[in-house]
Amino acid sequence: MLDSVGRWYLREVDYRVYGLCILAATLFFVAWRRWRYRSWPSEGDYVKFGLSLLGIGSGLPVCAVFLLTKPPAIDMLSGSALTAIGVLVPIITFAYGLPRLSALVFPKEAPPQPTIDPKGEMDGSPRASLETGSRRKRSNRG
Amino acid sequence: MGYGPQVAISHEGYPVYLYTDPHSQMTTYVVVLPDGRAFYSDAHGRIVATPVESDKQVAGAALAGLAGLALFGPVGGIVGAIVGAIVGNELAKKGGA
Repeated sequence: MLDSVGRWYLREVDYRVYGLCILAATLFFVAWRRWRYRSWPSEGDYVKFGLSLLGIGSGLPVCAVFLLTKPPAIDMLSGSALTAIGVLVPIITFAYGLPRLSALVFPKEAPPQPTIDPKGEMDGSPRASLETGSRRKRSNRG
Repeated sequence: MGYGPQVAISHEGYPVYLYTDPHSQMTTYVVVLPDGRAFYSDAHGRIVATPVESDKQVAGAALAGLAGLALFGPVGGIVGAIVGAIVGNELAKKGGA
C-alpha cells in the first residue's frame, strides 16, 4: 500500500506540479496576510516562505523514495531531480541545523552593563564604564 | 548590576535580571554568572539559545546552487552553492540583516 502510494507520488508529481504548488501557496500567503492581518509580507517573509517551501518540496521526494517505497525507487527520480535534491537538501538542513547547534554550544552573551553603586548612582569612572568580563570578575569577587 | 531589577535566582544560584535593550526596547531575562558573563535566559535563569538567522545566505546558496547545477552539472551546483552563500552573506552584511 505505502509502496504504491510512494510510486504514484513519484510518477505524478514532477517539477511542474511543485512550481504550481509553490505559486499557489505564495499567492495564498500574500492574500492571507493582507486579508487577515491587514499588511503585506516583508521581503524577509518572502525569503523565509520560499525557503520553507523549498525545504518541504525537496524533503517530500526523499521521504517518498526512502520511507514509502521498498526497495527505494531511486530509479523513478530523474537525473536532474536527484542532483537538485542532492544540492538543496544539504543546504536547507545545514542552514537550519548549524545555526542552532552553534547557538546551543556558544550562547549569545548579553551586552556588558555599567555597574550601579549602592547609592544608586551610575559609576562614571573609567574603571566601571562598560566594564569587561574580566573587570566584572574582579568586582564580583570583591 | 546595571541590567535592571533582579527578578529571580536560577536553579544554580545565579541572579536573573529583567533587562531592557536600550536600542530595541525589547525586555528579556538575563542571567549573570559568577565570573561576570551575562547570557540571555528564560525567567528561571536557563540560558536560551537563539540561533542567528541566515536566510539570505541560504537563499543565495539555494538559488546559485540550482543555477550552477542547471548550467554546469553537479560540480557547478556545489560551486554555485558555495559562491551563492558567500554572496548572500555579503548582501546580509550590507543590508544589516
